[in-house]
Amino acid sequence: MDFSYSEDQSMFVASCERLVREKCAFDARRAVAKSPAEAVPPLWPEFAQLGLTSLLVPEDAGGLGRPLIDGVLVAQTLGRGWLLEPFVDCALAAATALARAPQGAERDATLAAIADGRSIVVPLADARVVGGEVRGTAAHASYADAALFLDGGRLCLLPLSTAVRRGWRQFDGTAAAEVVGQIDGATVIAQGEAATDAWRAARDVARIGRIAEGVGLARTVLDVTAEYLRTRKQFGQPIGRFQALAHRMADLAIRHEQAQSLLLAAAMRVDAADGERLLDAAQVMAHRALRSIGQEAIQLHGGIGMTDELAVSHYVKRLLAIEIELGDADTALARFAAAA
Amino acid sequence: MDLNFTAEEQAFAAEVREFVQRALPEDIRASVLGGEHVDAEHLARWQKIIHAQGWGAPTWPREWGGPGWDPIRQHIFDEECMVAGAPRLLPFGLRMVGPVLMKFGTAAQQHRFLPRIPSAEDWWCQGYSEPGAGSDLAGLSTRAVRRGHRYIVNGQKTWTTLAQHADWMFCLVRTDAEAKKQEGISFLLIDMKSKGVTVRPIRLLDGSVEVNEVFLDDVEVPVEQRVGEENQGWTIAKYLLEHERTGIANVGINKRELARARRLAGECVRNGRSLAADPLFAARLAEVEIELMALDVLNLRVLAAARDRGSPGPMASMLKIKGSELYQRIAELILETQGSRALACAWDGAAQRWEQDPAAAFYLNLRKVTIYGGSNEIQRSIIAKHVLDL
Repeated sequence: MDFSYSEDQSMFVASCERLVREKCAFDARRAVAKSPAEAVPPLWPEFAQLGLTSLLVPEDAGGLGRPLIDGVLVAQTLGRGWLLEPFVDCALAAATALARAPQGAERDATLAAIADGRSIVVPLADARVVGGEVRGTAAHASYADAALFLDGGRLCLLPLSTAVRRGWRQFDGTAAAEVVGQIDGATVIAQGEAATDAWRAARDVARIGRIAEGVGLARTVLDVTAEYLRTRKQFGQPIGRFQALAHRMADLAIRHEQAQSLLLAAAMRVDAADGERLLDAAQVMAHRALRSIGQEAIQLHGGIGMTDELAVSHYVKRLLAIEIELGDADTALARFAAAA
Repeated sequence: MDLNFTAEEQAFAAEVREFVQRALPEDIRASVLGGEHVDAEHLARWQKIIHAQGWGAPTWPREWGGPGWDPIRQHIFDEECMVAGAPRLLPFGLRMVGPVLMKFGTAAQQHRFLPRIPSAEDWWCQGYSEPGAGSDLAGLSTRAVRRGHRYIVNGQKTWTTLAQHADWMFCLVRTDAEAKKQEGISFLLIDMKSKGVTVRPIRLLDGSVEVNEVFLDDVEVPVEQRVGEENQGWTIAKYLLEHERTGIANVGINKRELARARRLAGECVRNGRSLAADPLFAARLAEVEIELMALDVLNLRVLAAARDRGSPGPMASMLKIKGSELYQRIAELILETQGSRALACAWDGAAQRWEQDPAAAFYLNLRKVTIYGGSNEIQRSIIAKHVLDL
């Protein structure tokens, strides 16, 4: 039993921390969130340079072949800086789907292109195929190069250059698009059980990665709020001295550590027999943590927490979006209970 | 990063499991798994059994007759024992005065007192709280006045757990009334058979007698029963509280009680079906299980830090809060499985009183866990100050 970082993990986390510190100041992030949805986020090439896009790409496809927990630590660290890049969607989820698929020219080439940052691939989780057309909506699809989707028992890769796209930004600033493509323009990557297994693995990894991003950002929200409580004075003293506020912060800190704990456990046991159930538990806990930390951060800031001007309101919106992207917690709870 | 115990640790867990299975007397197991009141005779008997195995002081170093286990093995031992239905070991000797004597005691004190703790020859109680000093412990007013080679102690302690069975009490007393309140305190060991010691049991809302008032009237305590220097008591008191906090998550007990709640829900028919199949009850059970899983991993993270860095640190306060809240929530679930049956009382002729139903008594008794060991509000203040720097 060991929760310390390996040398590689420390290195990745340290370079992500530096990136967040130097490139993810609130004003810089807000500028990205306000840019056209069709623009590739500016930090993506740096992610590739740091090796972040090749973390989960197998070594035989030109990647680093690291375990999922490494990707989770990176997602969490990047999440601290209001992540607007498709790290979770492409470098974790899409890379996992392709890595789990049988080797083949298209699969290998796509993985290699993800690894070196040339290509952005996102999963189209809600894809529907009707009459030769595939339709779906996904975060980052507005500028991605290709989308993965499951069509019955086939895992398909759709180049987005020829698809019709309607892009927008979500309320939290994340780019997204509705995509309509021709099914005969797609390449089949895997079929049958290989396809469904790869897709399921990708969905699990997308969920874990999203939780990690949220737990990372929640950490920042807690830090920002604690700093506010240390500096804002009322009745002649920092408001953090008032027990009514200090105890609420303590409860939020506990919530956060609980979510962090189940996140780590889920990431380390993703392929175990109880992996799915642990992931449901992690999602429920993350949902509780993100919701309460977001709500309380605004309350503890008071009126200033309601303003568009302050970073905290933007972070809170991203936390809320992450909860929605994860899917409803009641479903996860029901699944967890049924699997008892 | 690795969530698994090592192969050696897993083998150790199996060894403990096999031992408890074999050595835990059936009547004790049945009493604990039935959620009954703690029985002092059970505690003493179990303590002697594990002592004979060489495990009587699971948290102690080899030097003092302990097995020298690291925090992970201590946790494994505790969890295996709890899940199997063993009573929880009393902390007052093993986790409190024991470590204090090892660090601050004289050689004579160590040799006199330490060996008698794991063997259950001496039963200790904790003379900390007073009617006027609860969370604000340093406000205590029990006085000890030096007279030659003795202290004369006068005052009152309260909430003294199991003092009615204790041979000795470690006690915080004021030895300098003029100093700042933390600086005038000393740490004394008081023989409960001393003249002037009166123990008065306090009956609690669940019918149990676990805690007592202890009155000290001109009690004479030899100077060699003072631990550390005079007026150094607060340092010792704080050291003791740190030790009290390890193992505070009660993961093992919570696992055992959650399993009991689940079993009772399965046996209970409500609205024409098993209560366990009721989606609302199942959801509450699931919520509690998820909280417990998170507590389990958080506890392991704190233990790993304690192993690698030597101290659990202020994160232990989080374990106290969640561990105690969960224990209470599980007691609520257990109470609900009993429905109106929980209202019953049975006349206990021997004790001359009505015994409450175990589920109700269990629920009521466990209201204590968010109060004792530093109330959960005190723990939140510790987190706010030492984790969040507020």
